[in-house]
Amino acid sequence: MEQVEQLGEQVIAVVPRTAAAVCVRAEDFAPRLQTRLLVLQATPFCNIDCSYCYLPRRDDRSRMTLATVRRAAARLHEDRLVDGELTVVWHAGEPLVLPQHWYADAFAAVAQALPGIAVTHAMQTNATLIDDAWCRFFLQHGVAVGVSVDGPAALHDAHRRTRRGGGTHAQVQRGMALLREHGVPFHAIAVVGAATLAEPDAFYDWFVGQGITELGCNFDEAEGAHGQSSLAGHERAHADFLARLLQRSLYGPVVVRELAAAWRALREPLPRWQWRQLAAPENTQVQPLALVTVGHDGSFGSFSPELLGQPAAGWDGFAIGNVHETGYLDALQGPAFARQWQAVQQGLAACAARCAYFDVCGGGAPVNKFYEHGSFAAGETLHCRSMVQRPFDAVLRCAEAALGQAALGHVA
Amino acid sequence: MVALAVAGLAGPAAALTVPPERAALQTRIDAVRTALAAAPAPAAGDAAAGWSLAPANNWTNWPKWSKWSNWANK
Repeated sequence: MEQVEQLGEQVIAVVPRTAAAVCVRAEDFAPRLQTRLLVLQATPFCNIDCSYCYLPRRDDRSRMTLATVRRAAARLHEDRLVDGELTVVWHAGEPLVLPQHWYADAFAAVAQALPGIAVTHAMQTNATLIDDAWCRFFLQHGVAVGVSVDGPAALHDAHRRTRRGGGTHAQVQRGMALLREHGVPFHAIAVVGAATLAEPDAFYDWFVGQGITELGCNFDEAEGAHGQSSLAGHERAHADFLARLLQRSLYGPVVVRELAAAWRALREPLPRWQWRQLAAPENTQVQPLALVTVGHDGSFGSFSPELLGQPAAGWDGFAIGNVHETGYLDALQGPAFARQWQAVQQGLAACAARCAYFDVCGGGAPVNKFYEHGSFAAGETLHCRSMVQRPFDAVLRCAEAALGQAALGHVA
Repeated sequence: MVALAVAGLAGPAAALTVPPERAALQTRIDAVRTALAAAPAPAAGDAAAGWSLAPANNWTNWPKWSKWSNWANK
């Protein structure tokens, strides 16, 4: 049964109120359901111990079997969820703790399971284990490499530490130097916390000095094992940081992902998707199976990839199935998915009803709604403000200033 | 009530009032898009003219929407 949820006199949206009402088929979506990114958690283990890490089992040395890799990929093929190309990202924990020969076999298994699909493998790594052999492997297999590094040593080593508490910056720099020596292209992703906000120029210049041209800023967020964002209470400083980063990046060599995304969203509307009465701008974190995350044991989830394996009471690790037991589309008919999907839709409705930025965002991130507000059904989060709203504000203000009053007509 | 096509969630059975803050933001966005469409193409690296509407570095080569699409749209 479906009901209209209302806030005062304002109609928010039509959302299903019972799990039994949810019957989700790929064909009911426009466009048809498609998986954009397959996240494979080859192992939960990480060789370092960052203070802000959201992963709950970083000392667990379990490893995904090749049979699980094969089933994870084959299920996509069987359900016709991939069309033409697919990116597989090996992420959470540290992917390089597994040997190269394991990945060579895994890549072959994926290729065999997805005939005719152009698969790009990507790895997000802390770079501490990179050596010449890894660089040759990256080049041989065309692996898209992302390095997790937070900028200057003092900022980085404050959080990205070894299990004995030592800094990892020097090791990361060695790893990046090897990537450059071998001609392996890579981008960087930095966690930006409160301490970084006061140093936008030093932060930006460090990446310039490393020859990095693409930088993603993951603004410190509360999720999973990391319960509190250092950015809470520093939102004005965050806005100032972004404004400065925008000024530097407009004509500097380093493109900042969040600002580039805001620029694109300003230039052109997001594509839209539809399911039943629901129509919204694209946001892969709220679209079923757009992102599929598979754990080392074959359990899988949809929506925000950070959710899978989290020990929240009553959510069974946010898994909606296991590749050894069920297909991805079949899992959409199960109770675990129904419960998540209903709440995610309610969260989408909350964003649509209340958020000024809905058309440039598409409904936020379920994982941050859950860990900031305790429910997927929530609306705005600190994460929304830091990752979407303020970057968009910075770019919009800059564009308005550049275009001038006359060009903008009636807009003051 | 604003047209459903402008609203976020909309469809045959849904009615939705767009929050005034979103309508105001959309007005600003529309004004920028209109001005961009009417603006002459800037010279490459034309930093002297302020923001040249096409940043000197090629942002469009990294059109990532979020931290979970930064690999997919490479």
